[in-house]
Amino acid sequence: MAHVEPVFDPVVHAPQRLQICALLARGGAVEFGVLRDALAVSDATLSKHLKTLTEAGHVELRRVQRPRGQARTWVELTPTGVVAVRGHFAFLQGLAP
Amino acid sequence: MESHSHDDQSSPVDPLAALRVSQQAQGRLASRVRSPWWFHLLRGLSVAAMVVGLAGAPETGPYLLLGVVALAALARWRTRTVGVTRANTERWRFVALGAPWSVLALVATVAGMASVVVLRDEPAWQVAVIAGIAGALVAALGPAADSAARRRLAAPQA
Repeated sequence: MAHVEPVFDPVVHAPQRLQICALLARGGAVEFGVLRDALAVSDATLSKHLKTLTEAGHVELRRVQRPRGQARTWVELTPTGVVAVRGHFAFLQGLAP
Repeated sequence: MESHSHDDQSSPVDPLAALRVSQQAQGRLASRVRSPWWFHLLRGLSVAAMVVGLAGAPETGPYLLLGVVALAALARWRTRTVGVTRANTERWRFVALGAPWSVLALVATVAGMASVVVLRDEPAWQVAVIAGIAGALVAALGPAADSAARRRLAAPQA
């Protein structure tokens, strides 16, 4: 596995965004409702964090219209996001005793 | 209970707390990678249908199409239900997550299909036995592969 440079990322560090990033790093593309349930937050709260992460270029959202019923939004880390999340986790693990 | 947005970037870094909450969320995500018994049963039957369809007899040809369509439909259903694509659409990734059970199921599928292609014009009972073994293995190994995937999804970040 390639060496990961430990880098503190203030966008990733906010507690709920850190959880979102950890889930996306593990789960690949994750559906909006699954993220909301896993974090136990409201739609509005999750949307706000995803907006911040999207603006930072860390995640991208993909809206998929279902043949019947509501559209679903899938959330995924961008390549930049993957690097940022790995670096941030390396930073945290470097601090952990 | 829903929590509210905690957006304070000026909070001190508590690495252990941060890693712990991330891991808890991962655990909740991982717990979704679980399918009902009938899903594994139908997947086994789909594999068996594909094996039978490859046997070469003209009357069994449609079984191949049936098996392929059923497997695709099951994968699509599970992606929608689980809400995590790595568990489904990124097929090879899921094989890695579910190893070694998913690898064994894949080997059983390929071996079953290869057997009936190589051993052309075998009696119907032999084809049925091969298809039955491949299908049963796929169905039986499914829950174990899910369990392995859950463990890997919930494991701490490297």
